[in-house]
Amino acid sequence: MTCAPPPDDPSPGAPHAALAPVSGFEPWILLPAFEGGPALRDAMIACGGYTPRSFSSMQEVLDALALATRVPDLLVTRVRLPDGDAFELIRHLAAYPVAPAIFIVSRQQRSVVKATVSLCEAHGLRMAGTTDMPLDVPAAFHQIEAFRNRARAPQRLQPRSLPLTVSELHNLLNTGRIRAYMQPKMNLKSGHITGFEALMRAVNVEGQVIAPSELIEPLGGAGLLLPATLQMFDQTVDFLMQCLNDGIPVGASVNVPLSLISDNHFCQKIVERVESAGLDPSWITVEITEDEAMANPALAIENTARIRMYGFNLSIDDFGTAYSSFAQLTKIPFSELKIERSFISGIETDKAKRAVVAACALLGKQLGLAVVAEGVETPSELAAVQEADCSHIQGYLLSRPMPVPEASAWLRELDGQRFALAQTVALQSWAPGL
Amino acid sequence: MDSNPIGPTGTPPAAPVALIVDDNAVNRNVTGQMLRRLGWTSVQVESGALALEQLRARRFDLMLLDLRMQDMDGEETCRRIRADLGLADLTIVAYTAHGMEDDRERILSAGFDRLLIKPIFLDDLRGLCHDVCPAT
Repeated sequence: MTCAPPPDDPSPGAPHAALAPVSGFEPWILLPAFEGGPALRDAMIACGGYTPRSFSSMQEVLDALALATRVPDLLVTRVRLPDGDAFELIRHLAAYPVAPAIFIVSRQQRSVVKATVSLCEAHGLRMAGTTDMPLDVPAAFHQIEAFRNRARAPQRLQPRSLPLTVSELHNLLNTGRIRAYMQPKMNLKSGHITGFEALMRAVNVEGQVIAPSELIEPLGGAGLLLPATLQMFDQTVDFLMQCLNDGIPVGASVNVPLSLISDNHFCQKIVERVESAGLDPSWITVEITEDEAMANPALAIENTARIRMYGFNLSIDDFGTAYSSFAQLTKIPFSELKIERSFISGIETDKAKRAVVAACALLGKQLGLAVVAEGVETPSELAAVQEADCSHIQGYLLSRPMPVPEASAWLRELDGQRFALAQTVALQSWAPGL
Repeated sequence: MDSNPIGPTGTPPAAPVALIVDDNAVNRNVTGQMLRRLGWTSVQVESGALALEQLRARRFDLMLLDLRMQDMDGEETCRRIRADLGLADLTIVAYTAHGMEDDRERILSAGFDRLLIKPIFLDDLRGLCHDVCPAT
């Protein structure tokens, strides 16, 4: 193959940094010669400057992994292997604290490939892509390049090897290092940015951004979710006051664990904060997750009714991931339903996902709720959620989560608060949502 | 007050005028600025009593009234506008928190023409303003 971008490269004007020789990216290839293993290896060396290693069995890979000083970045594999299959391999890989991303080359029917992808997701492994046999080497190489670009995109959060200690957590809280990152939400009918979701991050002294997956559970374990959530709330109130005082009507949502809402101290604090700022609480939406809402219905009704009594709006987050009783849903005074991102990812090619999202959208509409499709990243996903009749979208297609000053500037650069979706086509190769 | 709807020479204003009644200053300001983007002017007051004063003094094309206010609530204010001031033709829109849909009939029976759910965005006002004054 020649080292040129594919004809459908979504950003032909962008510099092709991906094609410059790069050291440090190590793919492993578990593909026999007759299925294109060596051809892919040659392309990686010639066009990517990678240092691939080739293997002929699952056991070879596992043995090499046990001895490796660094985990490979990527593993290209078939589904059926001479001494096992990709399912077993994925299970073994998942046992490692850091595992390579997986790229599947397959002759199998779609449902088997889909199950392989689902299994990776279930184990928390990253997917670099899939392709059918016979192997189209240039197309596979460009998929891998796109993955590598996503993996090193700006703002990608650095995984930490050790969990944060209680004293580190206290330090983050006491030095103002818990930060609200704002991700915009758009009304599909008007095209206006009508809100943001405040997502919790922390920035350590080295300036590295700590991901919520490394932060929220330790904060909960250390009994520090209350002060951390209050800090998020304060930053959100400040952000909204700046926008509204400038005549920009936007709301924002804050994720609040249900347990905190039953804490009177917490509720008093958030009410005090909106009152002292002079903010109408309807500009703030409290998001609780579906599993929390359904785990203890009586507690959920009591606490969510309290939130509504104070005038805040209420959203059910990650909808579709738990086992909701429809009757239960009607008893909790939600104003918004957010469809979990896993139903949106790849929706355009997945009939089952389209059906689930359309059903959620209809349910929300019938209950008088705003319905937000989360994690919309591509124009084709956008088209599918519009078709499903969702009222709002959130996701990388609009923007990644941004620090407050950046979000303020981003919002003010829009023409009349309207987001031009056409400009997003060039962003298709961005990193997936966090 | 966002702007004076009466010109210096006493001539009628070119733009339609809305009366915004809300005890929250941030809401009054942002609603006023949205109306301005739609080609309207507005007068903003913080209570039902002040709203009645304004309505006695001048003509408005539209009134936006928060239901939840400290002194006189929105429903009572609306009743007085219709009964005491006899302003049957003024379009009066209530705005309130989400979840009040069950109370819609009761609210409308106080004399409101429409109900908007807070928070109010530009598109909510665009349709409303166009209906009241098609030129905007």
